[in-house]
Amino acid sequence: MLNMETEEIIMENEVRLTKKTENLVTGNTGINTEYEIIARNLNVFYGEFQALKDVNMNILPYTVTAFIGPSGCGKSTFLRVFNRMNDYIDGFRIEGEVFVSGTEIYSNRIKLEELRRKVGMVFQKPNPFPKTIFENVAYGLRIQGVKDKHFILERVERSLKQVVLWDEVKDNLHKNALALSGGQQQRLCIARTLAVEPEVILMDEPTSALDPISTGKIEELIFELKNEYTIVIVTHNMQQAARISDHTAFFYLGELIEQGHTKDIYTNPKNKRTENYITGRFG
Amino acid sequence: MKPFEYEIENIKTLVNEMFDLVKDQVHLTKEALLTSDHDLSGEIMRKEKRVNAYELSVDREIEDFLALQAPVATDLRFAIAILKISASLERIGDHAYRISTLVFDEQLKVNKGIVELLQISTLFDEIDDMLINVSDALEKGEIELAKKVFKQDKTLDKINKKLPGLLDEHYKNKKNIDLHNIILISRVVGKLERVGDLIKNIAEEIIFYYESEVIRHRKKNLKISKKLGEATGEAESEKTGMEE
Amino acid sequence: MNNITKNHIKDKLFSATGIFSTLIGLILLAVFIGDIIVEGAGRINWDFITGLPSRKAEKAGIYTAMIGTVWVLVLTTIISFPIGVSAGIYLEEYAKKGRLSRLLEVNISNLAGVPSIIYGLLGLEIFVRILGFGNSLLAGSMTLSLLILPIIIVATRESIKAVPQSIRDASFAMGATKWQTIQYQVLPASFGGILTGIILALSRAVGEAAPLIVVGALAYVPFVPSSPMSEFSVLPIQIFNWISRPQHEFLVNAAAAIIILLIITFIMNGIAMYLRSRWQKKIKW
Repeated sequence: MLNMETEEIIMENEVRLTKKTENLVTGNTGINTEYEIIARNLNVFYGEFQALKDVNMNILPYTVTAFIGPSGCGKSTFLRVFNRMNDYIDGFRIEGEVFVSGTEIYSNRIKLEELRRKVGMVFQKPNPFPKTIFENVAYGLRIQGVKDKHFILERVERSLKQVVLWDEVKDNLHKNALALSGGQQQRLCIARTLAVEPEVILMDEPTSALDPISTGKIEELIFELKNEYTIVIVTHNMQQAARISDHTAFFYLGELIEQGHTKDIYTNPKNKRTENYITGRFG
Repeated sequence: MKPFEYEIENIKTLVNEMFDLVKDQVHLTKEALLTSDHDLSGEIMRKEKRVNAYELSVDREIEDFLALQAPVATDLRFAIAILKISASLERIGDHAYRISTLVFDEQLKVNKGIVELLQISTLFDEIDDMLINVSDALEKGEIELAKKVFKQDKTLDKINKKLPGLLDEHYKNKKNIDLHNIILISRVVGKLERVGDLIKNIAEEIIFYYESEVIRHRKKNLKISKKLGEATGEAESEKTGMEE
Repeated sequence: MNNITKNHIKDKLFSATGIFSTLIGLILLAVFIGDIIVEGAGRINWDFITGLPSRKAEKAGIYTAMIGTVWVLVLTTIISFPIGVSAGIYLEEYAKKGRLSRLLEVNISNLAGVPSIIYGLLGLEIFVRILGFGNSLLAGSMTLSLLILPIIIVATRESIKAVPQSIRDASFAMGATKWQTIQYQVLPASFGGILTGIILALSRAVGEAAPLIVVGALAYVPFVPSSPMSEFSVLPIQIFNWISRPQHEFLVNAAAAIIILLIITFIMNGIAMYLRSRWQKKIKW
């Protein structure tokens, strides 16, 4: 048994370490305690089928939150709630409240286009537009009606640098984006999202179609991006969730089974189903 | 830098701090012992909790590192080596603590003559140096420094081995022998010799981490086989390869 | 004989049948074209192309009919393109997928198979009589537009459907509206396909005689049409007219006109094929 003093010292060490990590990782000095995303008593239906059952979640800004769970567990549905991409699906119905930076996003006053500028999304398969690399990144600004060429040029360069793609494509900005490799395409898609300066980036299995090297690059990128953005990522790769996320949420059959710090989930899950899933003993 | 490289840096920092603390403990123990400083030995005993806390912190960090990063190859060896190194450091801390309790509880007093006779200063200085060598070896990846420790450990062994003979010689024609103190002092020397072995273990882990070479038990197994007149074989050395 | 050899023979047999079926069409076409060329190639010269119609076979030319054809082509394009493409976009992108839209879909596909003479009758009633356009180019072009609208709509829908959903998702996720998505992503990506469809539809329109005859295109127009309200003739009608004459010289004229008509449709098909291949090369999903 540890005595009090020893425990205090451990705590002290841990606090110091986390702080150190935080400084190393984010370079942030202050910590914003307000939640970026809040979901309350959320139920989602597709026709008769209930895809999400009474989900509650708070997501801190400047963190990476990973959703894990077997296929069809509702994690992608939940992700797409945050930028209302489910709205196009027939029979989609939602109950409960979802706030993104303090605004209820399913209220009638919200304009979808505005929400999506604030909440960007990266998809499973790299899906660049069949246009030039430049136009891909500039797209978000163009549809906002930005005409200032200099501004667009600057933003495109900055976004491509953020995703560490600039050096690879700077001489081919006017080449078709579809000529890039899969990993480059996915980074381009992330750059495209960054160009409109969102607050939140949703990633729906962003590396499942990529090779390990490209996957590593994207993971590194996610690690860097959380300095400036709140990232929510759905992944089938449990190890990926462990590597890159600060918080992990485990979904099963539309229910949020367990959520917490990734460290805690992966070293000491509270729920048996979570443990079975992350240890690969599922089913 | 990859995300997990930050983790490795964190753990390395933690272990370095633990090294510094243990070096400090050993150093202070020498002072407390030679000057029979009651207060100082008390302080060392208090600080032992810190050493323990460091071991637990390292354990927890390694657990997270293994769970989250699923390290392989060099990173996996790093995690395993660090686990064992921190355990060894903790035990070195324990020995410093026990020596201090001898000063604190048993009022152990050493006179100059016996210090010189048993080369106690040399023992401590050698251990200081060995600790510096292994911590530098770990930090900079200099295997040569780690290998140096094996030779240094032999010095400790030699002194320890000579101990009965020396004491015998010294007290041969003397009366008023303070047997209590003599037993205690020989315990101190024994503990210091054990510290040397622990540092040797640390050096072995460092070599394992950097070169993936397992040198533990190798020589010792050979020696045992020779003594017992056995043929040396892999299987045999496996069987006898128990923790000393 | 075991099963494997049996199957092998079946395989060979079908392969031979296939080759025969493929060749028979090609051979017949080749014979037909060869016959026409032998008959009419000698008649083609500058005078024939620029000559006005005449009662004397050796003096008669196809000038008015050809200009009429061009007029019809242009007017039909102007009318059918926006309507057809808009309808296609609406059905594919906006219309709610339900029973009604399925009904519309089936009907449009059916319309593409309605005999052209029926469109002619429709045009005669609505454009010529009710709207009072008379036997004009406009009435003819509108009738032909009706005829090819279903083809354009179907072609538009097919090319739009070929644009992957992921592109639309990406655009929506960037904060684009539906129209922005269509304007910037869907249409540019599907335009090659749409254009191909339109050209193929037009090349069908070029060859139509029956609906135009019903609408009142003339066989003998001694002047070049000057406005959409002018009376007109087109190549197929000219050919039809010449073929129905007893004199052999007119048959030769008809063969020559057929060659010209064939060249026009081949060129249009060629353009369509070129556009399609270029579009496919540019965009690989």
